Order: sequence, then C-alpha cells, then structure tokens
Amino acid sequence: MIHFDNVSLRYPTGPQILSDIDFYIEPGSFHFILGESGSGKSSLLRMMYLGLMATRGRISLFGRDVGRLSRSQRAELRCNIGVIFQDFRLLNHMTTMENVLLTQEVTGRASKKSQRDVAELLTWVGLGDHLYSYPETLSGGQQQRIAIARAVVGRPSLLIADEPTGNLDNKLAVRLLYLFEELNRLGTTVVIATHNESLTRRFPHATLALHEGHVVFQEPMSERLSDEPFSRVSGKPAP
Amino acid sequence: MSTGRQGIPLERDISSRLLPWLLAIMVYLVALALYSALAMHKIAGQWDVTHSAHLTIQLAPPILALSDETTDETEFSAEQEENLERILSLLRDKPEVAKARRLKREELEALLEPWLGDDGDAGDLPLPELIAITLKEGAAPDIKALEEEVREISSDALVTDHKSGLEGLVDLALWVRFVAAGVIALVAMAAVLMAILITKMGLAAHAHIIELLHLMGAEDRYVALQFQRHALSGGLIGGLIGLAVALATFAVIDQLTRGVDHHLVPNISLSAPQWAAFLLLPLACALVTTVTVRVTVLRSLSKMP
Repeated sequence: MIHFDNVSLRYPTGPQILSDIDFYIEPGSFHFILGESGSGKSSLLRMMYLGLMATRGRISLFGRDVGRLSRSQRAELRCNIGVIFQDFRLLNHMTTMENVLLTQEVTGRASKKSQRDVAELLTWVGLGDHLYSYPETLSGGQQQRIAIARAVVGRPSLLIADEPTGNLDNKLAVRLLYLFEELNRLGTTVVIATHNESLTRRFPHATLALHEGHVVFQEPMSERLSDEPFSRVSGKPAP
Repeated sequence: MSTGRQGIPLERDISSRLLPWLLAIMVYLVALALYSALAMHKIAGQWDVTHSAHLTIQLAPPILALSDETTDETEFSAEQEENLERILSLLRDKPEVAKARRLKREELEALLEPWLGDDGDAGDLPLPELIAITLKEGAAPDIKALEEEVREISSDALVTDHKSGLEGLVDLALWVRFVAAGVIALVAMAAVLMAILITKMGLAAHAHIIELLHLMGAEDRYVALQFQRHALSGGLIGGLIGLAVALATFAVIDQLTRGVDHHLVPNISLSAPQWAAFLLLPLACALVTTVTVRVTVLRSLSKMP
C-alpha cells in the first residue's frame, strides 16, 4: 500500500526534515505514527497523501511509483485517499452538509443518494442537528467531526489522519478510533499521527515512531519493553 | 448531487467584484476607438469620393482684374465672357472632363451665404466667375498643364484642385485610424494583464481552498473551471455594460453631428457588419478574459505537486 524507500525531505529554504526513511505499510493495516512536535510527522503524512514530493528516494502508493505519475494520475490516486487535517481545513462559506458533499463532487462520485448518505454519516458523528450550520458557528470538536466525515464519506482505500483526536474529549476520541477500526475492518488502510500514547495503548496497532527526522521503530505499542520513548533504537531516552 | 455552491468563493473577492466594471471601462474605450476608426474611414472615403472628382476654375471679379490696359468695366465684362466661353470650350474637349459649367450668380451667392447671412443677397458686390468641373471616374488630369492652358486664355485664372487640399485631411484620417488601432491593442493588452493580476490575487487569496481541493483529488481543470465561469460571467456583464454606455455615447454624437453641415462632417452612419463588430465586443471580451484566466490558473497549478 505505502512504500517509502530511502526517502528524504528538505524544504527549499530550510533544513533536512526527514532522512533515509524506509518502511512498508501493508494494505488493510492500521498504523499509528508517533513523534514529538517537530519530529516530521506532518511532513511524512503530507508525502503519504501526495501533498509534498520527496527530495530524494522513492515513494510508492497503491503499488505505483508516485514520482513517475502524471498530474492527472496523481489526482486519481488522491481520490482514494481520505485526509483528516490537524487544522480541519473546512470551508466556512459552506454548510456542514456542503463541506462533506464537496468531496463527492470533486471526485466525481456525487449521486442522487449522496445527500442522504452524507446526512446519515453526519448524524452518526453527532452532527444531525447541524447539517445546515456553518462551521464557524460550531465548536472545535464539532468542526473536527465534519473534517472526519468529509475524509471517510468516499470510503477511501487509505485514510490518513493528523492528530484527529486533538480537539475531542476521551469518550469521543475512543468512539472515533472505533470508527477508524470499523473502516479498517472494511478494508481501508488507516494511518494516524498522534501524540496521545494512552490511545495507542488502548488500540494496539503497529506504530511508526519518528525522532529527529528518522524512523526509530516499527511495532505495536503494546509490545514495547520500555516506557521511555524511542529508547530501544537510539539507546538513550528522548530529550 | 451538487453542493450548489462553488468550492472557491470568488464572488466574495473585492478584486473579482471589480472585474466586470474594469472590463466595462475597457470595452467602452475599445468601442470608442473602433467607432472613431470606422467613422474616420467613412469620412475620409466620402471626402475622397466627393471632392477628388472635382476641379474649379476661378476668374477674378472686375475690381481685382482691371488692368491699366483695360480700364473700362463694360469692356472687361465682354472680354471675360469671351474668355469663359473659350475656357469652357477647351474643357469640353478634354477627355478627362465629364462636365464643365459656369456657376450662376445665385449659386455664387449661396456659397457666400455663411458669410452674408440668410438672404444671401450679395448686392453690387463684385463676385468672381466660377467654372465647376466634374471629372470622369478615375481620371487624373495634369492640373499644371491645364492651368497653363487656361492662363493662356485668361492670365488671372486660378485652377483649384480639391484633392490637393484634401490630402492632408485624408492622411490625418489614416493616422486617426492607426492611433485607434493602437488604442484597441493597448486596451486589449491591459485587459489581459488585468485578468492575469486579478486571477493571481484570487489564487493567492484562496490558496488554502485550492490546496484542499487539490488534495481531495480535484484535477487542475476542475479548479480552472471555477475561475473560468467567474471570468466568463464577469466578462459578459462588463462587456454588455461597456457596450451599452458606448451605444449611448454614439447616439449623442449622432445627435450632435446632425446639426453640422454635411459637407464638413459627412454622414457617419455605420453599416450592418460594422454594427455587428460592436455587438461582438462583449463576447470577445468574455472570451479573452476566460482564456487568459484559464491559462493563468493552469500555469499556477502546475507548480503544485
């Protein structure tokens, strides 16, 4: 599903963000990406959802080398990726319903029953009373749920989420993770970047940990021997 | 199922809202320049046709022509009558001359009407004798040679070639047309640059939405189409407003020129194809704006991954 082969990233006017990243995420798997602020989690995710191209190395998505794809082919790939952004990125001039429907429209999947499906999904995430509200009038948690609904409405093959539980209380965060697991069971590959380690313990899935731009381990959190982050690979506790 | 709204709210941008008005001004300027060019073309053509086919021979009135040898006015009149007949006979023998006739006193007085008043009564005022010559179509007589021949009959005769006086005016009309074409080209260029600028402002103002659409899987043409639709409607609305104001201006000019002597300002009514060119202006404006916007958006989006 996702294959990073010796991938490095450097912004044109900035320092090296990621170096020699090698990992493979199997189709239908569920992965957490852990790392401190500034460790390169968001940049790694951006490369996964084709928001950024690697400076060096090779990235394959769905078995296709993204560096060799045309713009049109990359757009086609993006249609199969659902993204939940840390800052939600909702369109404030559109209602809750329109924000979610937009995904269907952009990807050419809009149909007569889309509106009903979207209404059902929004009701499921607790926004049934806010279908025609504008995002600005809703709380941070409610906005995040719109972003989640927008990402999953198209049943993407790959779901990438950047800190999706950041604005949610624990109860809702757990419910959200159950939703992601449900999607995962239906065949969606899920990659979640988070710093909420208690959540990763409750939902033991494979973990990619980033430290100073390098992947330092890949394993389910529950199997870790030490509570000190990254100690097994780097040989010393993270600062 | 459509959201019913555009993902990119271009209609909310001040720069986008200004687009139709800026285009209206530009279409108005283009319409005026085009009208000037067409009108000058027509006027120059009419001057050319009306005046180039005519010559005038003038024999001085007695008060100017009496010489030391001919002091008697009666004797002068008889001599001038004889000279006039000889000149007319000479002209009728010329193959280039279609018609040559002596103007009557009433016609001379009519010509002086602007200076003498409505009754046009010149009284005892000594008037020159005029012979109006109409040349055959395409004829180009040697004016100098003709003048020499006429002066052999009457030494004070003056041959006036209307075309020579018109050459400057015809050249001026040609320059006005060149200038109008230049103005049209400059305004079109300014419209293209303005469309590029406004599009770039729109792209910058909505960069976060465009990136979102891009990451959702929107193809470049989906984003470009939203800008194009906006440009097309803005171009059409602006073009129609500009054309409407221009047509109103033409109506005013038409009213003003109706009171002017048609010999000075000939009729500048335009033909059907020329009017059609004006009606195409809003379409041309919308088309140029839309194509410019599309190219600008696609070029900008090509820089995204």
